[in-house]
Amino acid sequence: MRAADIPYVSAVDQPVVLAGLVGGEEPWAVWPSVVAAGAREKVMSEIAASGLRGRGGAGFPVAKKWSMTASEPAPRYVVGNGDEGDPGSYGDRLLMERDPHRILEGLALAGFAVGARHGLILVRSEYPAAADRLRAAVVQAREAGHLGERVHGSPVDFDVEIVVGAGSYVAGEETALLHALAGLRAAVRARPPYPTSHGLLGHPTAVNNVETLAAVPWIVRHGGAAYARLGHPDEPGTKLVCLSQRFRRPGVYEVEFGVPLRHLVEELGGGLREPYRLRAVQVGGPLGGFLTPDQLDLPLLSEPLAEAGAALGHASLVAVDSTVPAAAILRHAWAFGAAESCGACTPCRVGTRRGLELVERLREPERAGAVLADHEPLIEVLTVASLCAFGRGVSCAVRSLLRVYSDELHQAALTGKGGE
Amino acid sequence: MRLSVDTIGIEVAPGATVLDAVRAAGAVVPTLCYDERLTPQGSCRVCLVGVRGRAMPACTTPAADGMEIQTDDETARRSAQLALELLVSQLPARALDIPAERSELVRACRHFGLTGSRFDGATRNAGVDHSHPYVKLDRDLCIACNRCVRMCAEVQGTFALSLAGRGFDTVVVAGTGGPWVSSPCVACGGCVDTCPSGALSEPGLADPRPISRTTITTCGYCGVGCTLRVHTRDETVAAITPAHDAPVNRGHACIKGRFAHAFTRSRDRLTTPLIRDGGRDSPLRPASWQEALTFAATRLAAIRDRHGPDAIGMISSARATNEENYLAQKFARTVLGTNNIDNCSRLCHAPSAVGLAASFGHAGGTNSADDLDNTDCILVAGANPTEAHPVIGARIKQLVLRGARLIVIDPRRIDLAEMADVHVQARPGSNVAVFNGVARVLLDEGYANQDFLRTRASGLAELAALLADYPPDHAARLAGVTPETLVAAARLYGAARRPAIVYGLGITEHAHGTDGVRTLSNLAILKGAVGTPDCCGVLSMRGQNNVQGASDMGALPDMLPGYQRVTDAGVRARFNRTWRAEVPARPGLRILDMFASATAGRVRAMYVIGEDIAQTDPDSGNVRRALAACDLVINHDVFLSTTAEHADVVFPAVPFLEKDGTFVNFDRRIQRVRPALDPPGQARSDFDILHLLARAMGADLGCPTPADAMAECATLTPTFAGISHTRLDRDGPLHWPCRSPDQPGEGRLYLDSFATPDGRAALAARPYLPPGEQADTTFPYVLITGRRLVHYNSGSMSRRTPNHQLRPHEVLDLHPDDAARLGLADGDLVEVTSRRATVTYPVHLTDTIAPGQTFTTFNFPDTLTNTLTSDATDTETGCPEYKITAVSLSPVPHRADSRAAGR
Amino acid sequence: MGEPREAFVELQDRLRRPGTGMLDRLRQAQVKDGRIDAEDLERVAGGFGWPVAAVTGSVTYYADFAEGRRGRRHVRVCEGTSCFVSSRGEHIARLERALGVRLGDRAADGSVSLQGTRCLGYCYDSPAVLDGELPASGETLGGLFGDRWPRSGGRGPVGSSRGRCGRPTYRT
Repeated sequence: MRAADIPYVSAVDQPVVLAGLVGGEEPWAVWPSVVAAGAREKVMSEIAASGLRGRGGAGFPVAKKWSMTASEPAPRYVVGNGDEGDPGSYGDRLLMERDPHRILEGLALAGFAVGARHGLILVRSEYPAAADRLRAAVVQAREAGHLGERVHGSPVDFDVEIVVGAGSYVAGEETALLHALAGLRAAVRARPPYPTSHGLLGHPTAVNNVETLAAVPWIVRHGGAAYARLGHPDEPGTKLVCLSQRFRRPGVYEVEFGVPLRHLVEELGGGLREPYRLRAVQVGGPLGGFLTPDQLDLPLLSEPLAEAGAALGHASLVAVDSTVPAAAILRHAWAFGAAESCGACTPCRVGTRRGLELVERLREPERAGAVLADHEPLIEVLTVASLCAFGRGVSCAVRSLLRVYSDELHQAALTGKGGE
Repeated sequence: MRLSVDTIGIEVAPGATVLDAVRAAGAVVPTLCYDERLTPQGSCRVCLVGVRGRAMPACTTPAADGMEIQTDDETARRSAQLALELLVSQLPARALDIPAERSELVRACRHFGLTGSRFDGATRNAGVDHSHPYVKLDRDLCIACNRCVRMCAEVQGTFALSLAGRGFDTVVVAGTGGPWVSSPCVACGGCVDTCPSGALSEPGLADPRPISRTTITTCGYCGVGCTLRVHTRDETVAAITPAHDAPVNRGHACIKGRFAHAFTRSRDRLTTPLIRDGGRDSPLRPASWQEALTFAATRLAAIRDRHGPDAIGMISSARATNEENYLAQKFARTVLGTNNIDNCSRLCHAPSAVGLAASFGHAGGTNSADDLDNTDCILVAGANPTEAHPVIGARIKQLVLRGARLIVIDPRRIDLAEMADVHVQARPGSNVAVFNGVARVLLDEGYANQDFLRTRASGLAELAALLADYPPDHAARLAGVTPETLVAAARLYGAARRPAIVYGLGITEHAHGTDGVRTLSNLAILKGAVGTPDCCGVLSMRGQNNVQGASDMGALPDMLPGYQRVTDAGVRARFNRTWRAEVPARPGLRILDMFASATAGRVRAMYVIGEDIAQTDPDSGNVRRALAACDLVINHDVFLSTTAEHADVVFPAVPFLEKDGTFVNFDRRIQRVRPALDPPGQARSDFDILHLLARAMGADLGCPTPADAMAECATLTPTFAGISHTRLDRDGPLHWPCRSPDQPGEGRLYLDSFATPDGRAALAARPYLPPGEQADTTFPYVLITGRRLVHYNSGSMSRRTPNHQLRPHEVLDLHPDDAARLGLADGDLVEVTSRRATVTYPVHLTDTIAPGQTFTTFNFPDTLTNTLTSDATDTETGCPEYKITAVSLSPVPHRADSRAAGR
Repeated sequence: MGEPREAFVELQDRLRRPGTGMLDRLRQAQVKDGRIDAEDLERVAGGFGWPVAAVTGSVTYYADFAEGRRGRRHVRVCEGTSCFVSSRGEHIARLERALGVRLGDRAADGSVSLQGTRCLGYCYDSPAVLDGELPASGETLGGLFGDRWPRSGGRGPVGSSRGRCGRPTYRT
């Protein structure tokens, strides 16, 4: 073993997503009885009662997405989004590699709820082990009678196909994901129409993140009300949070919504490992935002974080220590945007490249002075005019970065020495 | 829905977008990735408007009741401008030097008052691809709007294009990304037409000099009848673009209509009359109009006066206008005094005229092409629309992509067969067996509409009795297909709610072509899919631009305009009154009968307008012998054709781009043809030539202008009574029948009753009969002739354009198994021998042709395919059996110096 | 506005030529000589009954296919944020030296290629690489490169987190 396994911890009394990994709850515990009983309404109503929202970043209510899909004409599909692209996140990888059956059970329940006969999961190619485990799990689940025709003696047919991506961050966006599943360019398209009516192969499709799906068996088993009691009234339930290597105790933590970030950073993560000093925390990956250490009293909730300029996203926390120069982290942010822009819309296609070029100008004494001012229209057009959350997110992340590193960046602009 | 745009209240239909609302309100929002022909994409982001304080892309945001739209919203406008500036910053400076009328990008910049961009940085540096003669790519001007890709996919259905790369480097590619000319692009021009930035352009528009005039006219290639905008500069065609509001082509076109116009200024245009006054072996020499007219008039009158009017045969042209055809048949009947007038529909769609008239009443398709929009199942039989009628082929592809079922009945695996639900790859000549087999299944399995049959049709009992002999396995055996295939086709057609039939020359050009049309029509009658509300009927794909019109105008030996019989004394009396002449009562000779009569010495003069009968008519050796036997051959043509080489007088004529008049397309739509160019030299329209020759013979044809000719035709022909140039210019195209100036034309026919004598659709009980020729031990292969995309008919127009680069010579399609048996590799030469002649072709190996069959065209005068073709003709109409000729194949031994392909 | 359309998707659905196997098929094509050339595009498109342009569009889009020709040994190195923070790209430079190939390139003899990727999901033990499908993480990349792995200049975490895995070691 040349790579470390993922450390994971449940920081909640009743682990939900990690119910199998730390709570000893076996997968496929509810599926046989639910499908045999034809209890479609029960699944729908428990999910609705739970208040479960999409955990991939967009936070759309799951029950609503499912009922929208179910109201469209067959054939319908359910899709698991295993394209965990956010640098800093590895919770989905943990689930796919270590508890793939829980995701499959969640997908089967979703398929049952929306009336789909086929489920698909897109796993990014950077996660070869996750794809292998999921594929093996599908074979096992078929052998155990959980998947296939007339599942558990019911009239329900349901099977799952695992599709491996080929290197694209934007493929995690749902319309792009559907393109990737179909072997097409993983470019984003305008919504509406939403995948709930125009999804895979043009048919109604419910797309859910694998973490979302992993919560479903627990909710169906323990009831939506039990889930709704967890977390915060505005945002019930639990979330996997990933802490990065610079923390003293990096790993995946299942926590309840509403906990203060400081709790995650200082209590769970144990602060930074020696000799590093925390300079900023990147929340929510490249489309999230940067916070200063004194902003850590913000709760782990979408709204307050968005107001502070740091979208929750997939809830990764990457600690940036004080040795990392501001210009380097700014360049890193733009470089990511330029490399991963799908190219569908003008602001993102050209704007991310222009951003990267702006940072490079910090090395040119005669042009460095204008770099920060020149960021303004660029961030504006990306934020207002981008087609999808990617361009908006990259610009918001850069905006927060400019704020957090304001002093250093102004200094870099004055000297024109690159700031690194 | 009611909403407001900049405080102006407006009403929009459900499903409208914010952009629709903005435009309905007369406000202006620039767009770049939007094209009304395509699904909105919302990717350029320059159409942002304010909706409840949020910046939203107008093109993809659904309008909603009560919505308040602000086109001057500060945030939206500013971001839209910034997006445009970003876009401009990626492009070289020359992007903004393109004339505004050819660049939506330049116009969008003007909207915002932009002359540059506040952003700067890397621009593209990917270079140009000028490999294709028509489609020119400048990658550095590409704005990745995806319009070309959507056009190629959503309108043309070729899917030749894709965006490639990602992010900043996203750019369009064709095929595998290699040279454009090597890609699957069929040069429909859709991508060029939609490109907003000049990245995709064409030679005439890459030239920045202004266009001096734009003329709206109707295409003179195939029978689809596309409305084209012809842009001229310095008295040449700079470019032709499809009219976006065109009723038939709806903003689309094909490689021929769109690009193949260079022939109009080809240096070998005939620009002066030619006469041969030293006998047939003497050369043609230029002559003045006066001299040539006198020469022709004197001799023609002499033959008429000496041998009688019926010693003259006249062939009118399906490429000429209605007015010219009207004048030609009037010339034959009044100046010459004969009904010996025919047109080339004899050689292609005479069985349609006769068959459709017998089944339904009128000699044309039963429905408007617009009805295809509502069909859920298309049966394509004996037609290859994606090559021969590309705009309709493209439309069919789109209908299929959007869910319509597709049945293809064709011996070849044509492009459409690739996407068909069922391909009945029936043996050539087995159409009647196939249709009878399908009819039997429709009846046996309860798909027939009994109510319709009871009240609207006749002949069921006779048909049912005949079909006893056509159980599916027997019909399938005759057709060489499996019974399952036949049954599957029947069930698809039978189960459809609004099935459409589209057929072509593969049905008509047979020894039993009229039976083919009748038995195919049976299917629509059995289903009640014709003459009923929402029906899609039967559409016949016409080969040349005005095949329908030439017959409609009475260039037929037995019919006056509007298919009024010359044998009907009442009809003749009306014409006689108006024409102040005596229309002969006896029907005249059909084309092939004229040749036979000429060879026999009964016809002494042939007057051929436009047709190159010596190249395009079947068994053309026989045609040449007939011409040689005549005392006088008069010919109008644009170029010196194979026929002109046998003529005594050749008048220099003009092509459609220099004509004034009307054409009738395949769905009976009468459309205006307007001159975009002046004729070169002394060339004249067929209309003028006929007038001049009549005058030289001391006669006056009346109706001095094309508009007058149409007006006269309208007074004599009930089905055209409502047609006039004035009305067409005002209201646009009209379908016939159009019985009065205040009636719209009838696109969908027979809703109340069929135009047959008893008002019922007539089912036809026709047995399968074998074709005129069949493969045997001496001639073991069947040669099928047909059309290819880039060339047109004799090739006289298309070969004189850069289309020639795309296909410089003819080939013979051969199945690889047959090739292996004969020891032939792709490109090797093979001698094709029929009972009449031998022609050499390079072979093209393809499994789209069945073993034992071969395919080629007659587009090239140096591979005279029609010297091979069969002399068998349709028993009812005399239409030749172009589709089946028994041939033998013999490889030409390899010689290093024998690469002069096809000679 | 009519029914919104995606013609490339319609093509797959209506003609029953779905593309869920397309990316795997392209990977297969790539194995032969590390790249997907025009012939491969035609062959793959033909097999799926797809227009070749659709395949070209995909191949040029995805990093796994578009970013240069692959060597027999293909190493993906993480350029994600945690890896960046933990080494500021130093690990990439070291890897380039260890493999003798530049990021995004393939060795002239075709033995090895190095691709940057975001991210491999080893953010708890940055930096990380995937050597073929074998992951390696931590400052020394799990000793994957043995003695050839140049030592860093003393910067980096105090201790590797390797070995702390599996069942929870602590809870709150």
